[in-house]
Amino acid sequence: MSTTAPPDVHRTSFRSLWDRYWFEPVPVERVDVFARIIAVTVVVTVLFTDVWARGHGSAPSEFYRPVLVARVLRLPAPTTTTTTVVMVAVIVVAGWACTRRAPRAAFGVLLASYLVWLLWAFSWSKVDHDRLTIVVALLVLALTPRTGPGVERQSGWALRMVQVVFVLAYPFSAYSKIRFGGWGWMNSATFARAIVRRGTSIGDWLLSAPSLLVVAQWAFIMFEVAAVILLFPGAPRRLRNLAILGVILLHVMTYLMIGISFLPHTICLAAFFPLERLSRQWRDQAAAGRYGAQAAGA
Amino acid sequence: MAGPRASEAPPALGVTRTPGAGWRSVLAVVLIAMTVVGSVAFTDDAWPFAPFRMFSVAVKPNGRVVKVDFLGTTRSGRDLRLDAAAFGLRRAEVEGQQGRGGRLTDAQMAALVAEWNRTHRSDPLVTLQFRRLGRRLTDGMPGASFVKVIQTWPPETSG
Repeated sequence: MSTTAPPDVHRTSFRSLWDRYWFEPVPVERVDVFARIIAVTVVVTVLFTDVWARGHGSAPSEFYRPVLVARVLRLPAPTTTTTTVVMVAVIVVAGWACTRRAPRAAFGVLLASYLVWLLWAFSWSKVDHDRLTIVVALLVLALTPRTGPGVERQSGWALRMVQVVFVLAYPFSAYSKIRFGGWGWMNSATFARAIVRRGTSIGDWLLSAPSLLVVAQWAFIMFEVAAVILLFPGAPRRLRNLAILGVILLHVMTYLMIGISFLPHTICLAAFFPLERLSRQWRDQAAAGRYGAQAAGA
Repeated sequence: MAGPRASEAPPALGVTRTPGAGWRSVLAVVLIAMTVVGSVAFTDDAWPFAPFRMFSVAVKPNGRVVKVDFLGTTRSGRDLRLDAAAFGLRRAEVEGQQGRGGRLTDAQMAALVAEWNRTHRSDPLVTLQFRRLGRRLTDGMPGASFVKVIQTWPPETSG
């Protein structure tokens, strides 16, 4: 008699694992809070942190080098008028998205308008690499309902997508350093270069300690690789908390040294937290016992 | 409007699946695959699936760090130190378009002057220098700085 499990059992087991990873139920209110955070962040970027992108409206078109998607869409160089129109559209639609009425339509339009904004921002021979996660967040929010059968598992899928893309940025950022900088990257003067080009007072102070900057580069790349632990929800909680702390420290260090926050990416760390606790509606229902004692005390 | 609901139990083995689980699974695989392929094989042109290149340039500890700026002279004789933002651009965007010898095209230099003069009609630029500013590194510590003119507009003609 054979002891090998039949293929159906393996298939069912894989499917079960897959479903538990990608479709873990989460409260709809968690996605509500996350969606509002993302919508507000989009507004913050177009109004404040991407203020340079508005300048493209008056930049000489001789410098316009549309990226592939912009070429496929035949997107012409922006003007002051078109840039302003898209900016206003993004702000208005983000306001709609915050209401959580017709959420899929709201985030679909927000994704489209913000994509145009970003394509115009990055079609001048310089791409910022901190936007993939927030673009994916907008996409999954445009595909996730608030009601209907299985909505909590669909909400879980949306947040898991954001978590996975958020985490992948780190090991692949480490990979890019080796791909473009070579194995000597860790001992190079990369941080010194970044500080000389756009330093802060703390960064300028660190310039006098190049050995410390090399240590920081080693720490940076090790944190980036170690961040993969966040891909595994079953990993020990202490390890996951350490990885989250490492990611936060990494971004704080970057901001202090050269003043870059990577806000559209770092804000997606929110997808890892029980945001529903910020929802008054959820707290009221939890207090009323609708979630049961376990959820209320979670 | 949807209110909170009791947590749903994970689907039992082979019994029920989340509505839309199939296409959501396919989308998850496609997005992850594009992120991976973009990182290992694509360039910035493939944004949003581009490599995560921030800080990926390795600089020799005894090398040099350079950046660019502009020096304009107006009709009234004022010298103005201008960065790329004065023309609606970021410094890295100008650096990304430097060609042979670090030069921009004459058409690009002329367009920069035209853009500036469009908004400063009372005292327009008559010349514009594109410059490289640098600092030498010694064991990773910045030392002497230098300035080099890459090109001038109007272009200098020989003879």
